[in-house]
Amino acid sequence: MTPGSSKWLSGRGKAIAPYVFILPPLAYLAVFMFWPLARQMWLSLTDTRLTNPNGGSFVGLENYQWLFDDPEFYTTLNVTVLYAAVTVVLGVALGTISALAINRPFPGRPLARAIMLFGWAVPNVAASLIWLWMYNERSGVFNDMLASLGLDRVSWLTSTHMAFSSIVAVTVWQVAPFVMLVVLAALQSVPDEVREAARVDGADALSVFRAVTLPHILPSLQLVSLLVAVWSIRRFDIIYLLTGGGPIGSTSTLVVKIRQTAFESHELGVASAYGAIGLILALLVAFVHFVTDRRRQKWMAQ
Amino acid sequence: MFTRARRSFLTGAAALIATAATAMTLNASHAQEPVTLVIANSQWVDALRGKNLWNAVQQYQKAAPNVTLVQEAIPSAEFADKITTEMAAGQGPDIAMMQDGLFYTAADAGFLVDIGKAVEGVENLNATNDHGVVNGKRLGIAWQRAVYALIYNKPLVDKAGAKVPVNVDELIASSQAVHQATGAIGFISRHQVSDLTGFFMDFQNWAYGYGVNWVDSDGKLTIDTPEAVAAVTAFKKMYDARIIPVGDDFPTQRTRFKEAQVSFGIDNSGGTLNIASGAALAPGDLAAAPLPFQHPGAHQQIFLGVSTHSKHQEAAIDFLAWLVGPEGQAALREASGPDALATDVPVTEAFQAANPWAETFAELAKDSRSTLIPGYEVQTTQIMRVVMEAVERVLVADDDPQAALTRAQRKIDAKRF
Amino acid sequence: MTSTIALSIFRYVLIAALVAFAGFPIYWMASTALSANSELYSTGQVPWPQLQKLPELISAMAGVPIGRWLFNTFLIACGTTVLSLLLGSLAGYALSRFRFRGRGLVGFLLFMTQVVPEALILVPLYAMFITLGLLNNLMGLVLANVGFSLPVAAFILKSAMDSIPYEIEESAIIDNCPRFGILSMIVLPLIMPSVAAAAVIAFFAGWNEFLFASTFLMDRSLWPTSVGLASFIGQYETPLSAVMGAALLFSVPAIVFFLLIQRQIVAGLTAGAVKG
Repeated sequence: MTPGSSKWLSGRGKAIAPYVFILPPLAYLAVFMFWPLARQMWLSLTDTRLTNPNGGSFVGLENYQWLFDDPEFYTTLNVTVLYAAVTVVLGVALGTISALAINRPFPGRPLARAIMLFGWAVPNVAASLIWLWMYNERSGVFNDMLASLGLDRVSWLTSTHMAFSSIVAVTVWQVAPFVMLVVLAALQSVPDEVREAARVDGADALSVFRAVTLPHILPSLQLVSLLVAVWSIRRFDIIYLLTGGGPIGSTSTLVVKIRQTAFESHELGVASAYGAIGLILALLVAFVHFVTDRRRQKWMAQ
Repeated sequence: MFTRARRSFLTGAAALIATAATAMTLNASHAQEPVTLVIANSQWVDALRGKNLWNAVQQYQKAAPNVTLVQEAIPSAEFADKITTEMAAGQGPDIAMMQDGLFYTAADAGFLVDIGKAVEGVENLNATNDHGVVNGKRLGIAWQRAVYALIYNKPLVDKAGAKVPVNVDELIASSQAVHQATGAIGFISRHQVSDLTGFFMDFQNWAYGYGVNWVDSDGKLTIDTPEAVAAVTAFKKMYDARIIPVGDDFPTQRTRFKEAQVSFGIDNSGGTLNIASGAALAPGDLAAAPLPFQHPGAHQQIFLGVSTHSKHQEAAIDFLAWLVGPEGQAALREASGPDALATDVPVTEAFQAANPWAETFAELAKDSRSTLIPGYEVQTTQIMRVVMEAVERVLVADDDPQAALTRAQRKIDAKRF
Repeated sequence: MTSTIALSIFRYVLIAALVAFAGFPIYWMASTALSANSELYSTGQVPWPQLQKLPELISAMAGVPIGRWLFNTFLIACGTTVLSLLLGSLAGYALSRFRFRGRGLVGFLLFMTQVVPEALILVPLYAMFITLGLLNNLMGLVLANVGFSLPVAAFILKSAMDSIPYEIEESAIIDNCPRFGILSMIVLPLIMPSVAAAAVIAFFAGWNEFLFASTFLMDRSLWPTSVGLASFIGQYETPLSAVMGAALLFSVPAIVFFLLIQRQIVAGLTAGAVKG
């Protein structure tokens, strides 16, 4: 081929190339994701009902005003933020500890690692079924174990004290394997020589961790925290199937409310308003991540 | 050769014959045109009755061989959401079996066609069809009506020497007695807002049993009436007595009853049919009694309606006409167990002999009330959410019933239903 | 010396605890599946899986078309994976290799998809599918799912491509190879582990998905396992052991697929994770 004959090398071709690549995926997302999303955001400014999705009239910020006036909205917001925060902290902690624990070889490691991935691999519907059964007050295995130890049976999913924690436990069970995988990958990149050198110098395990390991896995930890937080804001199946948002709204996150408002009260406008607030919340989380990331990069450059 | 007059006569005759012939062929082809009707029902997935009900419905194909009936099976938990979404988008089945709340929502949104033609000349429609007339138009006919009663495991109750209760105090006492004597669970009842539709419908038995009317004579929503407080207090008493398996969803509780692990329960005829069929509990061991309240209780009802988006409305209406006719009703009776139907077809003798409890349900069906609030049928679920969340606070957080209901009243007034 | 032994013991105990936490629910699923209703609801569940009950379990599940469900689930998962990888690699390559106007915006848009709850776009998507004739077929489900997993694939592949030096492509560019060819024949083979990682994530998204499947499908024969399993939970009763058996069958292929790929994933996420 003669140079310059391929359109990819001509001046204009070079400029077009990125757009040619990005266009199919973007066009796809525009149709199947952004257009429906934009439509819903528009709906949040109307009083549309589910039974007549095209027939709503513009009401401005009335839906949002209604939400801000509703005390239950703040409960929902609290639950969502708390849920995201706690699942991030516990999920990342558990996943990191798991990764650190199995990082070095030991007999049976492949089997152990395989089992520790179950939580993430099991589909939501199946996971909620088995946890529902294990949490069952009268016949579930957790209460059976407590009873055999002479302790009181616990209302795992029906008491306002325990329901939230029970949901968090299932979420952490699902999410920790993902964290573990990412952190394991990052740990592979920690140079062994540096770690050995530090240990030979007499540093104990904790200082080795802090000085050598942590900086290497910090970017992964941040990435994973962002993802877990954002996924928690969005998570629906597990919460809905286990508690339906109860008791007394103690496990009602924004997404549970979306479902309730859209399909029970049939108020699509208000449901979309809930959704918009969820999006804003996620943006805040992303912003925090972005700022922390910048700061960390500066710190590591020192 | 033909005179002008004869020619025009012949032309006219030919035209007439041609028109008549075309008309006849058109009619004939219209009648023989293959038509597919989609019927949506959550019962198609029911392990017990699904197949039997479908076979009953399929018998229509003998009467109308050009019609093919197709199932749209949707699990009950998603049924209302999905049908509403479908119909709102101009899609959905030709015919849908809709429970009370969904029926009124669909009627209110204009999704159902007038099916008056289906019941023209049908003399023996019973009262179950009354609520199918909305704003003067007949939009639904009864598929099944399931009334509530107090059911109990006779051997267990006899073994404990317990009395069949006629009020809540006796219910608690008898349940505890059976538990002491046999270790079985005393009572089953829904008690969680996460199962809102089921919970509020079941709770209406307690409410109506204590004489509650959720609307006053002026049609205003009245939640914090003394009767309502009494009903909630009674329910709380039952809950605190720890006779029900707290935290169990109702299918699990029903399964426990099936396993002969429960003495008493409040359930409708559909659920009871399932409990009585095929498991540790023999149908002869199951007995029914009136609800332990002063006033009559409630019933759940499923209506049949035809969608305005159906492309075969005529054919659908013909099907409904067959269904309320003697053939359809007979076929349906066999598969429906003890539920009340659109006409008064009595339960078969064989069924009656095997299921003595069915008689009590038939008695109670005479006075039972709809679970929906008159005048607020479409908004009942939303209104009852406020009420049941108040009840939940009473149960789980020990709120005072009067205070909780007063707060609920204020909330409902604010929402301007 | 003793501190090392103590540390080792501590480590093994920790691992045992973590494995127990992770694996117990699956173990209990098996135990429940192999229990009779009477055990579950009265005499107490037997703590170990009673393998002798296996024939009963199989007959209890005989009437359930779980084979059909798993097949549909598999189709949906594969379709989601293929399309996500295809479009994701295009997006990843563009973001990795080119500095173009709107690059930041594109990254932001891809991120935003991860926040959108399915319930939020359900209704407009449903309306759109009616117009496009995509209701009641598995392809429609794939198209709905890919919206969520495409950006994840793009991000994973972009990170991996970032660590491949550009020089490798330069010689091919000088030789006038079309960019698409460079992507498919040079770059992707080098980041196969990341491709595997992205594949698994997309596969699971498709395997697990429930809401769209339950809303967009009419025919029972098209039900994936998620919808089938949910339908199994009756209004009137929960056949618990059969449900658990079905749940196990639903989980096991995902787990197996996962195990086969896991080594690839660990290596795959290495390529990009450190660079962040």
